[in-house]
Amino acid sequence: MRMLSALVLAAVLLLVGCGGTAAPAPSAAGPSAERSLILATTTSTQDSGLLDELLPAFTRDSGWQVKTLAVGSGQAIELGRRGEADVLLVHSPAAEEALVAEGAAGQRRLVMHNDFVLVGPANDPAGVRGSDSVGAVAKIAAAQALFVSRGDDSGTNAREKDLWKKAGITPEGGWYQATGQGMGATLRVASEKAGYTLSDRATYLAQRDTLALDVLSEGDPGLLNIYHVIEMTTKAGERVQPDGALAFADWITAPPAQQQIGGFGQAEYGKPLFIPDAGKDEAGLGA
Amino acid sequence: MGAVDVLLDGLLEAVRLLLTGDEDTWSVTALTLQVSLTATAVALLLGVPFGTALALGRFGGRRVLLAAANTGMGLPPVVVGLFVTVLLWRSGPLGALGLLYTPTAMVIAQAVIATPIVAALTAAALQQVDPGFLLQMRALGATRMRATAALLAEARLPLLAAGLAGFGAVVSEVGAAQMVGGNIEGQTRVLTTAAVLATSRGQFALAIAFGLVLLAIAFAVNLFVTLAQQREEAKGAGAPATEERTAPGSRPSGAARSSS
Amino acid sequence: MGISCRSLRVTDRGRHRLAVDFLEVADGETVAVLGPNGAGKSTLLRALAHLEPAAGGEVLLDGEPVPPAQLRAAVAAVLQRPVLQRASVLDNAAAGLRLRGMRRARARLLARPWLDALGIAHLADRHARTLSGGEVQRVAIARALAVRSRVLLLDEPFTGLDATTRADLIADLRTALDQSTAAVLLVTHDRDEAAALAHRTALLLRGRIRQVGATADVLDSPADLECARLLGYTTHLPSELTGHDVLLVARPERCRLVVPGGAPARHGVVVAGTLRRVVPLGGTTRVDVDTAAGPIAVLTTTEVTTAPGDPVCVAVDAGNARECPPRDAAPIEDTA
Repeated sequence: MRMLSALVLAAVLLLVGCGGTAAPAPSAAGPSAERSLILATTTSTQDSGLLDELLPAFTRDSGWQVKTLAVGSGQAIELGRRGEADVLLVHSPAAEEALVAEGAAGQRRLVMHNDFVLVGPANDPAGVRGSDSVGAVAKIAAAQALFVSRGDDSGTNAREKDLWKKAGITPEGGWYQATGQGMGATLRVASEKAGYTLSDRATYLAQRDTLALDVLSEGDPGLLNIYHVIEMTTKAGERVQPDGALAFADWITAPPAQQQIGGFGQAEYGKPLFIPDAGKDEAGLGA
Repeated sequence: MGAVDVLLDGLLEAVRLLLTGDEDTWSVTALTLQVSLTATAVALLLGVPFGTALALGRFGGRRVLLAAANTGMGLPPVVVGLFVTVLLWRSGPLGALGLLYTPTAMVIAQAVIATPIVAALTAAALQQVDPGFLLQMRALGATRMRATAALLAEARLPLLAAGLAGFGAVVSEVGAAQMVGGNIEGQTRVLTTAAVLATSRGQFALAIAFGLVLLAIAFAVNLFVTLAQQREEAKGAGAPATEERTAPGSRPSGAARSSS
Repeated sequence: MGISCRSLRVTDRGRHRLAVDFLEVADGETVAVLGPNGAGKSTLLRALAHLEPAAGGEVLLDGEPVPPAQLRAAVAAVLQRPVLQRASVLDNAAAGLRLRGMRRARARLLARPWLDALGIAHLADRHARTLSGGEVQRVAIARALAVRSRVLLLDEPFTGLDATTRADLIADLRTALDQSTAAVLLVTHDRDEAAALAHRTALLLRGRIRQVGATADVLDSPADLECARLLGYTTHLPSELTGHDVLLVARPERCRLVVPGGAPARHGVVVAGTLRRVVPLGGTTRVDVDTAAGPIAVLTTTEVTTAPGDPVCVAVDAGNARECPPRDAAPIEDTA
């Protein structure tokens, strides 16, 4: 029995020890990878896989390790406000502007955009196919067809609420259900329940194979989904690392990263999931 | 895709990932073991002495503490995660340590979850031992320390079960690991948080694969402990209790009575 | 010299459980403490081993008070209903030594001969849980003996054993003790065990020692009525029956039934009474006789021809009757 225990113990320690060395340190090149910054971002940037591709390159180039918290724009902005995150990558313009107005944030720069799409079951019970975004939600409410909302103060959720407001409707009742979860989970709920939902195109495309949902409304300016990078300052919290934030913001708006963004998803989906926009004038986006 | 297809795919995927030594899978598995085993070790280090004090001590408020430990067994991991997160926030009391979103933070949170479990089960295990045990050990000349050590050795099987219960609780929880660890790739991603992420991305086969690896770990640990217990039981079951046999060279059975 | 205690007091919620002024057990000597259940025998044993706090008095080694740790190191005890560990018999026998810091291998080596001494060497590798009651007692005794302590305390080590087992164990224990130089205190409620094993015997009644001396002397001459009852002199012959100025006591088995008017007793006493009942008990017969001073019992092996209700006499030969000092006027109070 003692022999067996010793063997098992040795095996476990070995495994654990190997695991230890296999952990982080992406690359030996570049300055010591000991500095780490906290990036608070949305679930769509993570669920689409974009960050998985971008971040290793950033760490390699700058020496900064990134701890990504993919929590939804609402929580991301709150974390930034408290100084618990160094830099934000979010897509909730109204909330972002409010944050900047408070004075604790630094630069806010345009990074990229994609669009939202209204998706739903192929048989389209509310007959929204082809309508514009506001018209579509009005039809859904009229038909009392199942609509699945994020319900989590994310950028997507904020846009969805905006649409209802423009349609002059307050959605409530058994047909309007909120998951409180990220985009991937919400899409799956909508798919299982054959309901409508608003999603960013990137996440939808990334999961399309497993979903029973079609794109029913797209393309109008009201569905533009714009991402900004916001650097936090020490005014939000004394442990904020503005230099790391600057490094990230500079990097993601610089041509190499922008090019990477533009090429992301090209191979799998035929078209890019995100359109790089750094340096452009925001008013001229869309079309 | 039918459900059975997904499950089968998951099984195949699990085998493929493990056998090909997929680095991500192995590193996630290794981190899971690292964090949970360390947390269990801490829980044993803290919980066994505490449980021993609860079982043997004679101090005021002992029963209240015992009730608290038993309650602590049902601590929701998410709640623990929340509390530890608030403590470790940059703006929190322990923020200077910079521990949030590191494996150390996960060990701390999991140790908090497991310690009441170990303490409560240790106390229960010791209370099951014959009440005369400690006194008899002392009667043979043992110091209090040695007598307590003998008591713990006597209760070794239930104590092993206590450790197992602690490990089982933390290796399978996701709430605390997600909150204090952040599920950061290559740094704080463990099997449970990786499974949740894979699910939210629609990668079901991968999620099931992670789940199966976790099951395999839980099974292996349980098997080890169960074998240990069975072996102990087998030794004890031995030959049935016999009535006194006279030793070789038997003596007359009449008592040596002196006249009264 | 040995172990002794002086003015030892143990109280329980204000009442004295034990009040012993002096008791000594010398090295190499076995002293039995004989008393009924609840007399405080186990309390005395535990107090001597410093397992129970004493409210007053002290325990001495070689006449000197010693710190508790030293006392515990000098003592090994077998408690009532001994508790064994979840281990083999040999490991249990070695436990006493291991608990004192000895390494396992050496402890097992030193404990093995004691298994032989108690006739359980063949059980060395068996798990403690598979043992019978008698075997458990033997292991517990071997465990204590193996320590080779200066003082050995045994609390009713033969409890719960059947007659044959008990007889064998008494013999084995006697042999083992004869070879030991330890001071041994044996707590028991059975006078045959005291007779078989102890050089001296102390009678403990209600927390106090009433009589102490060489075992044969004590067993043969009770100091007072309570002692007499404890020692088996349950047939009481008050002076109004016998004409003696003092109460006489005798063992029921030493009394004889005689037909009234038959041969007079040889230098003894004869009392008259009425036969109440006859109870055959296998080899002997118990006869209850009602006398003017109350019922007395006789155990006889001869055939009883008298019938219940008939007059009968009970005779006790001189050598079998014991004088008993007057009963204490006031019962001994258990006050602190």
